[in-house]
Amino acid sequence: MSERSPIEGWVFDVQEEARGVGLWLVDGQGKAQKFFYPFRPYFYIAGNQSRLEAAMRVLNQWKVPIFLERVEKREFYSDRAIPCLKVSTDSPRAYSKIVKALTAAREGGFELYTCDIPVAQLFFIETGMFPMARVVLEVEEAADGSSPLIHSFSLRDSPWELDYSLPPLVIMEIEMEGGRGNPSHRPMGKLVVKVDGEELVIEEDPISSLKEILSRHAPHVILSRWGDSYLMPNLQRLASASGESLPFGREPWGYVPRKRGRSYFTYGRILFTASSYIFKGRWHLDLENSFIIKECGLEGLIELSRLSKIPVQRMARTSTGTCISAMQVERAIKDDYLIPLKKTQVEEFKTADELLTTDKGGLTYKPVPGFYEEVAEIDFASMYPTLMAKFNLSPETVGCKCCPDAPRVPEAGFRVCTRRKGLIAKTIEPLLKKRQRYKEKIKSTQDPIVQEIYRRRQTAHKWCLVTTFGFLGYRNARFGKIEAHESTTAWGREMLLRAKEIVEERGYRFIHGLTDSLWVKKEGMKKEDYQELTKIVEEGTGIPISLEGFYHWISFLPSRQDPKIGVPARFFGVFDTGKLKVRGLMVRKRDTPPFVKKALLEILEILSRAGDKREYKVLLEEAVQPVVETTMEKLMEGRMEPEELSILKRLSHDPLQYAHGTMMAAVAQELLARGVQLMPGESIQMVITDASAKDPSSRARALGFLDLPHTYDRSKYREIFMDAIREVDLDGVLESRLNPEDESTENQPQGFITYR
Amino acid sequence: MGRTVLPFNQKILSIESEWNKFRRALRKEDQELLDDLFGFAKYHSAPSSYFSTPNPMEPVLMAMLIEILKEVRRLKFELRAKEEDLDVREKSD
Repeated sequence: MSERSPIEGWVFDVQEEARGVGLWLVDGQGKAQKFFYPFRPYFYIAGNQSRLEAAMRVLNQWKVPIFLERVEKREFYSDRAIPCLKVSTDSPRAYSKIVKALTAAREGGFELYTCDIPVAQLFFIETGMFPMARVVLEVEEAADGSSPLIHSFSLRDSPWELDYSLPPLVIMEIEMEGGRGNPSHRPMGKLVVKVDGEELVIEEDPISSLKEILSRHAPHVILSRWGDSYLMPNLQRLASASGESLPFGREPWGYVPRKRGRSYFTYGRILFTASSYIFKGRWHLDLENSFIIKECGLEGLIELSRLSKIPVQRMARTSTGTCISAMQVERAIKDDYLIPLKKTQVEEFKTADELLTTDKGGLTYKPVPGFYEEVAEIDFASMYPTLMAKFNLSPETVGCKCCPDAPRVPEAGFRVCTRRKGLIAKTIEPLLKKRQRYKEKIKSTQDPIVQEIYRRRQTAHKWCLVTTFGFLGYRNARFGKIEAHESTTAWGREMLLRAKEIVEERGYRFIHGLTDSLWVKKEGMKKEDYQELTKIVEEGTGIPISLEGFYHWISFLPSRQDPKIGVPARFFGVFDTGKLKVRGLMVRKRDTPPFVKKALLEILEILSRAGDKREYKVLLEEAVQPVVETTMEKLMEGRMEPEELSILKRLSHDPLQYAHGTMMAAVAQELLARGVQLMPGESIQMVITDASAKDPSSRARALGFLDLPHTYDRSKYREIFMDAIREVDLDGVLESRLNPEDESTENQPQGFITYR
Repeated sequence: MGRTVLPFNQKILSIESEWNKFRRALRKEDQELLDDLFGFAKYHSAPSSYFSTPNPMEPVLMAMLIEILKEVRRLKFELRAKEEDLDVREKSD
């Protein structure tokens, strides 16, 4: 019997092994070590005797040890207990193959449950551990020199902890020199590595240089730009040419990308995700392939990983929706439910009339375009998640058959179960509470660094909660049901209207409403009055609402197509705190050239000092005009750098499938001719060289291959810049001063009706 | 997420295009008025969408009427203000 010894640290990662799982632990000194845990992944088979026998015939073909147990579990939608067979194996690698073989043999009539949860996640759910959890392991040295065995462990942490410590992590940054754009869209540059405050430019033999850096600094995290789509595949090619493997993992194996890159269609856009280069014992995180890191940093990523029990490297590459569905799966497993394999439910039959009433989103008003002074914005906090929790809106509770006297959802009329608390409510409630507590902590903390950490975690929660709602109505979501989704938006519309009625009863004007936010105004009211109003609305609706802020002024912009019509989400304004709020302006759009963004940010900063309309106009004349003129001079004198002019566009098609010679098509085809492989959904950067040229290929060029000295289309860029300037202009103050000669009042948009 | 029902904004646009021939034959000065009327309908798309009646033309027309009445009220109000202004001046003369 060998010695047992305790070792304390954080669960860094979990990987599948031939038998059980390997657990990477990082201790307080940053030392990483792998331990072995004999975990048996499992799944369930349900069906009558003859059907189970059909399943057994498939199972008998396997040589690995398979363990069977008769158990009783509950079916998710009906809540009935059903007898089933729990099948487990100590070989995670065989596990997925067994499940695959059974899935293929399902004409045998049996049902499979809880069979498509990744092994690492199942391990976390079963043990209660989670990524970056603080644990003490009792370990036993293995006789054969392999990883020490985890004999037992005790958890010193909880995913619901607000303040938790993390081990010291050494981060190695790696990217290609030559700017932020996709390195495959420009000539090959050099590799730049930053670690421990050192910056190294790798001139030659990258593989052995990297090996040397890795062994010297022993980083925990490889933080790359374009790692998944460019760096790793290229380094891998280099390495295999000399018979080596990628040096990044702590375990020396050749690596095959787990998932291939793919283009997919979502919310009316085509997007592209690169393949994932995931390593063992060391995280590879690609800043360009992670929505979560972009939105809420490593702090937010780790927070979501802890909550969802999805290992960090995989979490970084998934959508926040995956986080919430993982949490739902965990909740359901703990509540003894069988996890449905995939969506088998169909939408229930609805008449045309019902469709009209229910298939709508939130209420989106259109404000009258214009400049408003002293307006308050009040927002329902996490409206949809709150409604789902409050009204028990969940796939298994909406439209239930067991409660004939249950209250009905407004408009939609569905009944909601009163006997069973829904999975969604059970998952969301603690998350809503945790987010609320982080919000309070942000307010009460003085330390700006700590405050920023809380803010990032809180933002991660926000994204996570937002997607709960989206997934509720998603056809392929494991726990989705369109009726639950519709009930949520119906309650949302009801709440916005109740709020509108309450404020209007008290003499406030309802200027604008957008799903879960209201903009209201009453002459002479102060911030305190609006705070009081917010409380009244909260009491009246029964769901939390807060004063987002009191605007000194806010400008609602008209539609780009029609200057007389307002649009729901194109506005900017400044709160009494001096903070700007900007939505839908060119400065926020990804295809706006950087020089325009830079000038506009400066201009908005200046305008945020205005306390009212009069001051705004004075600032336009005195402080904004010089900024516009300086930028315009630089532009017209040809002094702009290519990067400042670059326009980012997302490819909607394969480069060869563009039917028209648009600028984007020309640039995509230019890149193709230079040997750059492009997928629909990928982004490209271009510079407009001559927008009106007859030959489409002369209209714009790829930023990365632009030869110097370059030319650019000054009048086109001037037009773009002026479009952005018009968004912040007021009553044509700037426009008339910038080009007084072609000023004709006839072309000025006339307000179509003055609302009072 | 698939949408079975068009958002109301798109319904207004499709009605607008149904009326294209009508618009074409209108005099230019009247075309602008028609465009403004559809602008009124777009302004009230939120209540129209919430109402969700099978015939979208009804809320479209109602929205137009509301905005016209609003304009009439505004003019009445201005006229009254001018008349009062005039009265005051006449009396002081």
